[in-house]
Amino acid sequence: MSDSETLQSMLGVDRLIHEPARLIILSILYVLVSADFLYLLSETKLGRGNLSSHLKRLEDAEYIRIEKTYRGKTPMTICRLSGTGKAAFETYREQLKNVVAAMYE
Amino acid sequence: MNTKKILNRAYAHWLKDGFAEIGAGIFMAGVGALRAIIHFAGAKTAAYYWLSIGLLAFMIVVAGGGGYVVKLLKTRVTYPRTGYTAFKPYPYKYRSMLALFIAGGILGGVLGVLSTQPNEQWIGIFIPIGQGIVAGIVFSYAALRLEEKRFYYLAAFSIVIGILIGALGVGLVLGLSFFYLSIGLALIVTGSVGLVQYLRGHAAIDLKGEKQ
Repeated sequence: MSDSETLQSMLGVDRLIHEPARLIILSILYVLVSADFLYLLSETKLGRGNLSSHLKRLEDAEYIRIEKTYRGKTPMTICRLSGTGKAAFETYREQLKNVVAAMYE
Repeated sequence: MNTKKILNRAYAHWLKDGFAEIGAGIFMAGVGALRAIIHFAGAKTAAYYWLSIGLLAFMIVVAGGGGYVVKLLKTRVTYPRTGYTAFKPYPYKYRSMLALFIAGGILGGVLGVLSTQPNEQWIGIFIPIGQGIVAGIVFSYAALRLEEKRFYYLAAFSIVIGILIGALGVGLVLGLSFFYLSIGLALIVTGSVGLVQYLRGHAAIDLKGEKQ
């Protein structure tokens, strides 16, 4: 693929992932088996409503799975990356890596 | 997105409350203390054998049950404050682990044989110093990777205590016992400091309302 084609491939990048907040969320879930809402809140520094909204969008796209459960008496919202989400994230990473490499040549 | 850094942050988060450190400290201090007591009991006495069984039982109980206790404490204290994470299994390579296990066994055997030799005194000087340096390197690496300052203090303490115990010249077995006891106590202290700082810095959060 030529450099200009690589740069143009950015036009086809997954817009759902290509948003800073959702990118951080998926990056965190990519390295872990799961994380709860509170951990994502502290790591992303988003507001609760904002984070909930991004999680809902990712769940609707089936990139993540959300499970409401309890640990002891504490209610928890556990998020984990789905197979679809993992594949989409890896594709996005590869695209971005190629584009950045092309930009520096 | 540097996923290694994200994972390191998650590990640092897991260690932040100090529970794992306190647990490891209790284990090491207990092993060190019991081994020293066994040494003073005198070889081939009844007390020696009973204490040795006690040491083994202590190690099994703390190592086996410690993880459960840490998990229970995290459920009550950590998760309501800074959240919950589950890690992927560490990608251990079977051959490397087997090689490490065999090397550890050989080293233990060599140390055991050396401790019965006439020049056991100089071994008792250099082994604690060596252990201190190794522990210092391990703690420094942890401090660098997890960006936790208190591991630097543990690294410095390990090196200093290794040199001090080596200089005392108490012999190999007692020297190592004192070393593990000291490191164990240091871990309990740093873990407790970490826990107090953690509790002061993070109130339990009620996601439906305000901070508690």
